[in-house]
Amino acid sequence: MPLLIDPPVNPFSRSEDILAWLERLAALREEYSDDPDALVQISRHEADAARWLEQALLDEGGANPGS
Amino acid sequence: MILFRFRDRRPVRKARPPLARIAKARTVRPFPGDDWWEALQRIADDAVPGVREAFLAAIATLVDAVSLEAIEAALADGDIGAAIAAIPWETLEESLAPMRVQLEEIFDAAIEVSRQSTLVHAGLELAFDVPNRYAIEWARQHVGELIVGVSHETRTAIREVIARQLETGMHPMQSARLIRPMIGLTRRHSAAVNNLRARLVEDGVPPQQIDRLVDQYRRRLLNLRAQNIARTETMAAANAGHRALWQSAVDNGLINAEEWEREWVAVVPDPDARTCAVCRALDDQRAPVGGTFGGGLDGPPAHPSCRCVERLVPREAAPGAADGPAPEAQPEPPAEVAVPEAQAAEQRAANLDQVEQRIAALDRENLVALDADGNIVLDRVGAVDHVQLTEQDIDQLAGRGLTLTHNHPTAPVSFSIEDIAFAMRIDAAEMRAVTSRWTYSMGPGPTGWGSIDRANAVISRHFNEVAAEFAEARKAGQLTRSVAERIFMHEIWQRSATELGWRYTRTAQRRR
Repeated sequence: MPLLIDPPVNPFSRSEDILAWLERLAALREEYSDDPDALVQISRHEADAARWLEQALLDEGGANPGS
Repeated sequence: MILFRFRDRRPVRKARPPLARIAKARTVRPFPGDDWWEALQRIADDAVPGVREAFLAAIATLVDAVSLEAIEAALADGDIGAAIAAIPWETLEESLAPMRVQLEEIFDAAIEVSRQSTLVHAGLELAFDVPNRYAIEWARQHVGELIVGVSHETRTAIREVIARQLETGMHPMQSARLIRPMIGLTRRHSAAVNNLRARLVEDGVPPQQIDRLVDQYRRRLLNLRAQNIARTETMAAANAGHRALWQSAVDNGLINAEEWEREWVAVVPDPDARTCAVCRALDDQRAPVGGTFGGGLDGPPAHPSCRCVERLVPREAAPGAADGPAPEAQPEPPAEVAVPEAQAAEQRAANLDQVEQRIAALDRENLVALDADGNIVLDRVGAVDHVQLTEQDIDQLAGRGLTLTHNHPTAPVSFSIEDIAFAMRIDAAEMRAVTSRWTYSMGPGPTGWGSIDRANAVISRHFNEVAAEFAEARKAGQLTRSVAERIFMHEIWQRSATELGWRYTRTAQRRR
């Protein structure tokens, strides 16, 4: 079933906010684990957030999230 | 970047503005070499703020003059009629004197526009003075009718609301306190205010907060009504002045009423295709000088906030209308059609306002869909950052031209991509987002939302462009991170809407 997701972050958000959003998306993934449509949407938001997080960390002069 | 991933399952739009009619209007109007109708509308528009304030000031004076004790005493006896009689309506005539003067001025100014337009269209130079008493008499009579209308609406509202409250066992003193806030509101608005109060009580909102929210809502509705009245009355004055010149010319034997007639001009250049069905039906209809149009209308306006005008045309120039409008050629009586339409729009605005007032304060997302009459057809509460819908919900919403509104509890930012994708999917008439600072609105253009592929391409491009521009501005120290974060989506929607021909607005939040 479709979700109307309003992400609280965008490419200019702080890394900590984007990280919190990624955690929230992980929770949504659990919550909608039996809903293929919702999982597709969540995956897209995860991909966007991961890209923005990388950029935010670079802008903030921090380390790579994987390190 | 693929933004919209759903299949295009939108139904074929059924109800479309009659584009052929609009297209014809664009080629026929504006009238060559002049912009008289704009001048007429401008005279009215310039006076709207003054007339609105005059109305609000008059209502405030009346409210102050109401004796709470007298109303309470009447209600203690169970006499609603006596409670209504305790409102000193007679003070309203004096309080509305500034509005009367303003309408007289519009009336007089419109006569000069009428001179020019008559010269342009009919080749008649009507260089004589229209007696000033025409304006005075018209304004006095018109304001008198307004007072009757306002007092009648309030009386009806009080009867309905207070009778219900007394039946529920509400104390007369409490009921008496409900009356003053109803003065000046329409019956529907009064009901909406009291429904909001009941809803907030039901939700367990603290009494002080209820009073504050209800009062804000009431003031907003009163402002809405004042604006509506101002727009209607100023156009009525402008059109009445416009007509007065021709009538005077006939009265003075300067033109022959057998040779000239009036033509209703409903469809002036209308890029937004907003002309209502009532006015489209009246467009090009003719009436004798001093006579009436179909449905007994003296002339524009046909309904609240109507923007129509009229012009003088040679009678022989009307193909098939040499004998004037035959009864069978008349449109449906507009008074009967226009009022429900206008009321529906007013009701929708009032209900939407009430819904948004409620959801603005919630900490979870709430999506509400309203139909053209303002009825709520869907109300879904979700989590802080999303709402879940079923396929049945979507089937129920699709293709009905609904207004969707929802709140963004987390940040005062504009629409997400999914918000707009969803609006396209169900072919919504409007999508709205209420935040703590702004209310955003997005709607399709005159030809609809267009193709999803094109929207996807346009929005993707603007997304990337805005991101790059903001990043540059950040590096140059011209933009703070927090501002960039807050306006990022707004900037994308502004640019995308412009390119796609959609209607996008952001208005400051005044409710809280």
